[in-house]
Amino acid sequence: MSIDKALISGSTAMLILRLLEDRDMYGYEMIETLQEKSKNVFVLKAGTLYPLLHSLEGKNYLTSYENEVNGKQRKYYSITKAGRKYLKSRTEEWREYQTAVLHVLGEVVG
Amino acid sequence: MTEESYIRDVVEQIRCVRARDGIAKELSDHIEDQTAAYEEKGVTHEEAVRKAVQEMGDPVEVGVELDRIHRPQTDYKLIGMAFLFHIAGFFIIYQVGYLSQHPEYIGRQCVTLLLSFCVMAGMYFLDYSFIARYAYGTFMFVTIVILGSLILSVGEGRIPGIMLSYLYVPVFAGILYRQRNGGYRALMWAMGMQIVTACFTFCFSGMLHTANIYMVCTFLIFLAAAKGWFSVNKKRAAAIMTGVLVLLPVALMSVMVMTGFFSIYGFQAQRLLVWLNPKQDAQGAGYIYLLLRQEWRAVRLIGAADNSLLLSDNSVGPTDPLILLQLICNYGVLVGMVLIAAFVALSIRAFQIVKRQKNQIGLMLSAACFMVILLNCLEGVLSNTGYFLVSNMQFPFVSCNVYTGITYAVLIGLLLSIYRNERIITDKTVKRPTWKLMVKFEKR
Repeated sequence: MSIDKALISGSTAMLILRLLEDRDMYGYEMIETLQEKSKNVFVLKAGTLYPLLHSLEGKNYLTSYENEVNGKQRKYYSITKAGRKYLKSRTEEWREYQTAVLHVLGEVVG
Repeated sequence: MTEESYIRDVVEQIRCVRARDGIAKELSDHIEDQTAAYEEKGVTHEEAVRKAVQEMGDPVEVGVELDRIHRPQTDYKLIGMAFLFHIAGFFIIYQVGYLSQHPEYIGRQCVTLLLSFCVMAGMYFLDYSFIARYAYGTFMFVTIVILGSLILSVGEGRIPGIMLSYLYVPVFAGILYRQRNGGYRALMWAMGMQIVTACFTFCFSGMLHTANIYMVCTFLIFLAAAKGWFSVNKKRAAAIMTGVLVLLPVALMSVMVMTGFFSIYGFQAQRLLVWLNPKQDAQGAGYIYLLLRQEWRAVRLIGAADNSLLLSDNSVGPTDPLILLQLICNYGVLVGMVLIAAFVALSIRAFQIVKRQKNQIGLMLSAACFMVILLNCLEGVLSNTGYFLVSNMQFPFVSCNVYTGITYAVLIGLLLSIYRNERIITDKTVKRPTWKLMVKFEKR
């Protein structure tokens, strides 16, 4: 199922931060996990992901570090305290928006 | 499109050369992971690479977006403050400072102002990580500059560059950075370098400045240990540092005082006693403190002080260390408060830059600059109000000494450079440059 790009673009940061809340990940791993968790709905392009990760790092929501896994050096991202706070506020905002949309849709359908 | 050409197209959009290598490596890793995933599904290597690259997105769009994120940034607040300080400092010196009695030196002060701007701009555009990469070279350079200033200051009416010794503080931060992951040997070396720095400062600038610089360096070495720079047990490192850098000097001083050895530095002890009880040498060293008390009784909220001796006594004269009191005696406490508020704002801005730093060298260098600025402003205000020794301490920007101007220009320029490169210089990019200027990719 494909979803209108504009619908998810604003919430990509929230989704990435949510993934990193569970554990530290590298870029490719994030795309894979997001795709898997969303049952192939969110297929994020690397060209969208890396600028977003760098931007979130610039805002101090994420930090990065190099770690060697299976003989390969990888750049891992980790959520910061400020990132967790931001995620919480964005999640609340999203829930409010979702409820409002459902209310309107409910009225229309009903 | 091949992997190489894709990454080349991305990094070509990024103006900041220092950010390119890390981005190229990250994108290359991603393509390799995606290729491996396709190959596992039975796709041929060539086809897997082609598909992986295709899925990355438009290289120019990605590059432009990354360029926007990794571009240098300008701290307009600090630049504005430095500009205002330079102009205001010039007028303060002209109105109530040295130039008020020696207007013939106005040309020289203009040159000092210009030089200070140039040094600050030079530091701003310089990659600050050179202090970490060439810490010992910079240490030598600072020493040569100080020696040069001492040679040039030989002669009547010339003031040596006492404040230049404060440049050792950011250099010491660079030396600490070079000791990272070096274990206890690195910790010992860092402590040794701190003592060497203190000895050099003592020779060049005297006891008070040495105490200040030693204090800031002690703070920095503790900060480095707390950040795990030495890769040793933090508690053990703290115990060693407390013993060597704090308790040992205190014990040595105590022994020197008790055995009478300290009497050769009787001048320092006398200075302290006179400050505590100025009346014991009312016509000598205590005069300035008695004068300070009298002046503070005479100052008004707005306007010139009544019967100010500082304004009429030519033997004291307008000096840089007492410039705040000169200003207050001439224009009132309110104007003095404005100057103090400006120093507070400068210190706060410097602290904000420290807080923003995510990379270790940026944090340590900005902390070094902040501590020096804060300490000098604080001591300056305290000595002008009689709560601290009157020394040759000089406020940032409000001084007619060219070397003081250069010292603060370097510190502020360094802070601006740290802010500018905040998103560009990381701990991974702080390494000696190689001749390899182009991003190279390993071919399969």
